[in-house]
Amino acid sequence: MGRVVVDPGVADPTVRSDQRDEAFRVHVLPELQLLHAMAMRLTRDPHDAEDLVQDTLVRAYRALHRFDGRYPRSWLLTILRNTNINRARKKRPVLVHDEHATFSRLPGHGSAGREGAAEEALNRIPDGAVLGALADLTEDHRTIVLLVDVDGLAYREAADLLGIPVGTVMSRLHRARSALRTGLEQRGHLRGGTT
Amino acid sequence: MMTGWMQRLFRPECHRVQQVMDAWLDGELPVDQAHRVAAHLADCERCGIEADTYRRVKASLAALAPDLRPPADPDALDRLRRFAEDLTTSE
Repeated sequence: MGRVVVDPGVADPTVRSDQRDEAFRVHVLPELQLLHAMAMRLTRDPHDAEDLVQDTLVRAYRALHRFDGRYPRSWLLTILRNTNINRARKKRPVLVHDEHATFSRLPGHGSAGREGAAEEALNRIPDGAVLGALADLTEDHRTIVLLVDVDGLAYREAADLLGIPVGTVMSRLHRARSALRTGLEQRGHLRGGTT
Repeated sequence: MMTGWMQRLFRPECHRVQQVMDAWLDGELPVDQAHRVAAHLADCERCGIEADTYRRVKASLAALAPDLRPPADPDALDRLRRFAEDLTTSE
């Protein structure tokens, strides 16, 4: 997909609204689902998430004349984070709320769940063990693992969403995975780096 | 290709590979550097086992993604899409 860049010389964003609309369709609309999912991670509430995405869309639309067309996801996730901070000053935003309740609801946690022959064949670690080890992580560690390994964010995107440097994403992710590995070893599913 | 105890020695190259192991697993390394890491992992038993361990953990998490992702809401997405489309015609 070619980049659609609004002429940076256009100081007044209303002057070239056709250009801005096209940039919005190309850069923003394809990320709507991701924005909604990340808004859910940030707010943990469907109504708050929808409102947050609406506010983010408005801000993004108004800021398009300053966007250079590179890394639209990063740009949008930064706007999402800043919008959420502004919206949620009264209450502390959480990325993973009531995690033990969340994880205990999931199939496979604390029980045989879907563990079985298929997983063995795929060399997968049983779901219950993974969920248990994940629930034991600190919130920061669990969050970075979820953003990268579950939501599929790139390091830069996770950094923009969390408002931290990419280097911090990398070091935090490394510590999180080490802790996850230790948790799995303690559950008897990984042994000292060997299977 | 080394064999036996030499494969299990922790070499300076091992240290460099361990430092970028996460980035390699996540596809965040430039192609040439990723090739060098892959070549080392094929050659070094110790680092190869380490990479396999983390790859297993990562794959297990990915397989759980449908349970661990925030629940999808097609109606909310439809409303947001309409809201976004309205923005481009109303402002």
